Amino acid sequence: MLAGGLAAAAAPLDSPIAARKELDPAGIWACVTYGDQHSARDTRFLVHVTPTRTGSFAIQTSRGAGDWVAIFPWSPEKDELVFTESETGRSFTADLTRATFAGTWSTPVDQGGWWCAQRVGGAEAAARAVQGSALEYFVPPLVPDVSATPRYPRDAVRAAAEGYAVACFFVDATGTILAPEVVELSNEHFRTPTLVATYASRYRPWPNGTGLRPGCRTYSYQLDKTF
Amino acid sequence: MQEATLVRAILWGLVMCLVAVPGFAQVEDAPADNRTVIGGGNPLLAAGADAIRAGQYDEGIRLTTLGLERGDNSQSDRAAALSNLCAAYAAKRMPDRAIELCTESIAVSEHNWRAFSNRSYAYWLKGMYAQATADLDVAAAISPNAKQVEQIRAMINEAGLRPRVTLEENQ
Repeated sequence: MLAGGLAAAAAPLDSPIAARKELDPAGIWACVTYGDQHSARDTRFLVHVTPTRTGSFAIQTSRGAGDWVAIFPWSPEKDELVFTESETGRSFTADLTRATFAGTWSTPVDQGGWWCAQRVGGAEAAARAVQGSALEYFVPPLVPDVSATPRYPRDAVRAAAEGYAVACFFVDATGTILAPEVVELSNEHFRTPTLVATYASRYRPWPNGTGLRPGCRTYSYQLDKTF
Repeated sequence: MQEATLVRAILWGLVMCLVAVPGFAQVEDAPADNRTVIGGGNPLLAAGADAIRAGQYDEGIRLTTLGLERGDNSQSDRAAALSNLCAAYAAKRMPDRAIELCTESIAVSEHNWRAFSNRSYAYWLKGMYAQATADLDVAAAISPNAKQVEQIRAMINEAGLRPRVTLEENQ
């Protein structure tokens, strides 16, 4: 096991990727979703993955967490895990080549992504019960403190380019945003201003806090005609 | 500073248009059997085009105006010359006069994309972005790959589009 929950995945000898690192998803994760423009709502949830790849899922509200519900079908594939959650009807696909537990979700009519921060490590989580309420793992929503506005790139204005970018990141107890990553991008014009604005933003700190919380933001870049 | 550079580039584009007028100084577009006509149809118009190209707008306007007073210009030469005058006045930051001349050029021949492009630039100078866009759309329809059209389009976008960024917290 490598630091940070990363484990070297076994690869066939004839594979050109002989030592590819794959995220070990074992643990309890606090997650947020983001949706496409037609998404009705975002969801916060907890997911518990055991070392044997069984799993449980609990919806989080703004004030608490629901009960653990087993996730099935649970389909471990190469470099990804696929599961469906019955309460929201979403099918989740985790991309285990990413730096954290994250991926995409879809329903028959909608799609988006999700992003998690580890709440409890794999070995410790394996010993925890995943029955009944998930309240002890509840992660309160982030409260924005400083929200920097991205600069609209001049080249994008000249090209009349509109679009959006989704940035996901971790937030520490001081409210500082860490390791932001652009996870969706409609146009390369918007990558840098999105990252700059995200780094310049902050959330309200939480007292006596430890660990990291997950966050995502969607920036929409639009142009209004003035004539 | 950037704006000044941009306008210089556009003006250079306008001047470059002048050498692409059949009968004046165009080489690459001239049919092989028409080479003797290059620059010889109306020397005053050709000289006017050269002067404008060299940035001597007043001299270019004088020569082109004299050339237009000759009665033996073809319709296309006349349309091109009027478009050249339009470009020169636009370069002199006299958009009202430029618009008059481009409109006159378009009345003579409505197939000259440069006249629409030049008038678009003149409208841009006046801050009339809707009219500038309309003319540029016509120019683009006639000549879809013209660089000058792209440049003016970018200028109109920059001046006439107000950027807005909205943030949604996904929580």
